[in-house]
Amino acid sequence: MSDTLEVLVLDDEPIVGKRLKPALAKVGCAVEVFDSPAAALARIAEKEFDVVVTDIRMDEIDGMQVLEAVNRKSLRTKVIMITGYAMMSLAREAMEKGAFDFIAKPFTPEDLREVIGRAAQALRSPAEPPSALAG
Amino acid sequence: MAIVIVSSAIESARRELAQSLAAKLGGVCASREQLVEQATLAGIPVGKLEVAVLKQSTPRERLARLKSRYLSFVTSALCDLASQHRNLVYHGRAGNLLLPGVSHVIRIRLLADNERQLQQTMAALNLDLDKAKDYQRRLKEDVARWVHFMHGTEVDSLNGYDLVLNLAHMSMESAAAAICSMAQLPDFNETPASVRALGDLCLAARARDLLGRDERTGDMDLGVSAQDGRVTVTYMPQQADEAPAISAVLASLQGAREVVCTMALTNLLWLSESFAPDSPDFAHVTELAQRWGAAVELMRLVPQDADDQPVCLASADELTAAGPCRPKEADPTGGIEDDVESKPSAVDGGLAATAERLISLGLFGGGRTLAGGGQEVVAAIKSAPRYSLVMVGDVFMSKGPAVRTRLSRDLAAYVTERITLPVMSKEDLQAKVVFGAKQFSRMALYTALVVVIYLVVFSFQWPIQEFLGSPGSLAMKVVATIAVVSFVPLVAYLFGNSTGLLFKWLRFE
Repeated sequence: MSDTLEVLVLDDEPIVGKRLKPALAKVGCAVEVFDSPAAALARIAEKEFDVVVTDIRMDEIDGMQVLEAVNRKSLRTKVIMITGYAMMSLAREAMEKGAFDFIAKPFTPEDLREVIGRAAQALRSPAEPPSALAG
Repeated sequence: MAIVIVSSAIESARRELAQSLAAKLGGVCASREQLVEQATLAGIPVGKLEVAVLKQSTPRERLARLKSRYLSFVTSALCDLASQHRNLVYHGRAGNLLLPGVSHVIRIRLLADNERQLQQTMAALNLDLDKAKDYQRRLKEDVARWVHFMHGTEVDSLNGYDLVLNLAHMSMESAAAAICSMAQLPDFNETPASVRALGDLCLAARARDLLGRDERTGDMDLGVSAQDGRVTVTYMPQQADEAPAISAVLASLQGAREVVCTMALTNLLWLSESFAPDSPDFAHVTELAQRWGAAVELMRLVPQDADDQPVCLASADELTAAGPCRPKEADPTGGIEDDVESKPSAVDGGLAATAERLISLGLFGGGRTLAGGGQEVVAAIKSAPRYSLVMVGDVFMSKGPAVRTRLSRDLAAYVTERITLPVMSKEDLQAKVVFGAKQFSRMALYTALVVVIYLVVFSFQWPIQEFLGSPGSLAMKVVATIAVVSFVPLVAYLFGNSTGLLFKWLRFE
């Protein structure tokens, strides 16, 4: 694994990627931003990312489907789900299916950087329990 | 008119029952999930609250305000539905807590059939049996934490329910039929008192909702209540400059006979090294604050050389200056806020958690950490002379019990000498507000003694008059004088204590 963290950000609101890309690039992440879930899934199919940050609720394909697609490609990739909606049962479902963590909107880039930092740490030492929601 | 609230941690079970019941009653069915969706669209980030609960984050003032806004929104939305439809069936996690004190609301607790739920979870989420069990267990824990965070009660508590139905022992159809029959009982008919209680509850919720949505008042800590159509909004003394906005915002409140804005009469300063919202001290301080219509300001006193550095101030002034929540539609950031300097993550001695609880009670007057001793406390109090009482709680916690007691007394004495305010120790406060079995026994004893003395005096008036007034020897006169001098203070003491305790029992200031 190289030192640069490969991060894919998917949110159907283009402003999200626009704001997150420089905030993550600032700490040395190589960021690819998508506002189309289909295009993001195509990219996930061809490249193994270290971290995938995805919105849960999107029109065409939802975040759970993205999570499943990432899991099919590589169980090593950490998936961070972001949402503006209440989703306690969905959060638990995602955790059962291997999501790394959840962030609720509104959040600051620093909140996301902190979670990505933990994901990077988990990538380096995969034996440790990764999630803040592990219970 | 029937309002039925069905509560269960399992959404599918309560939804099925509520829909079946609404069809039988010919009413409308509403769910927690629908109201959450509406709340989110109205700009209340409920997801933020849920994730905070999931992650068991430390409660913060902002979350406490979000919680209050969410509860007001849901109550207000329920009230709107109840006023628009003859029969309403609502289902949620702990819906029984949403319309308290309204006697014509039927509150049902639904215990789902675990085996059936497991099968459904396995099929819906494509999980094996162990993972499905794990999922359900964790989801129940999440819901329990949510209910505790939102309502301060345990999800398993059966208090406040009118009926508990176990779906392992009856069909959904029978459960709906049973509730339908129950709704016809005279016990759940509307009465003038229950209609008035619902009206006041709705009015207060709508007022809180309006105030929470407006940029000018959204971050103020306000106490809102309604009685017989009269809405009273209480704000903290330090928010006096923003107070005119309250009336302006509530000008659009429909159904209010009158809107009254009052400033909290006074502030109580609670000085302590650590705070705990579940402690007896908290209960005593808030009880006194509620009696006095006062706000509670927290001052965490840490030694100058303490390892944990003072946390950032969380005074109400600062909080008021924070930006308001904006509706999602108007949010040009996509929910990504600007980066801010991270605050020090020092141990806060329970300050944030206690502030959060005070905000929920509408009693928060600010909070801060102060490093130092009596001199610094006096300087801080003099810089903001808005207190009517200082309560010295647990301070000098690193010392032994005897030294701690002595230092606490010294601190109280030092502060008392330098400011013109009453200073109380936690024991004094406890004596002032607590009325338990011990106090009741004392009151009964003193009252009994007073009654006995009066009975004796009025039953034996002649012998007493003869004893006091007969021209006897000098020795007899001396004895009579001594008897009067000792007897009158004794009666005064007993009578004073008896009536003092009676007033305390009646919470009469």
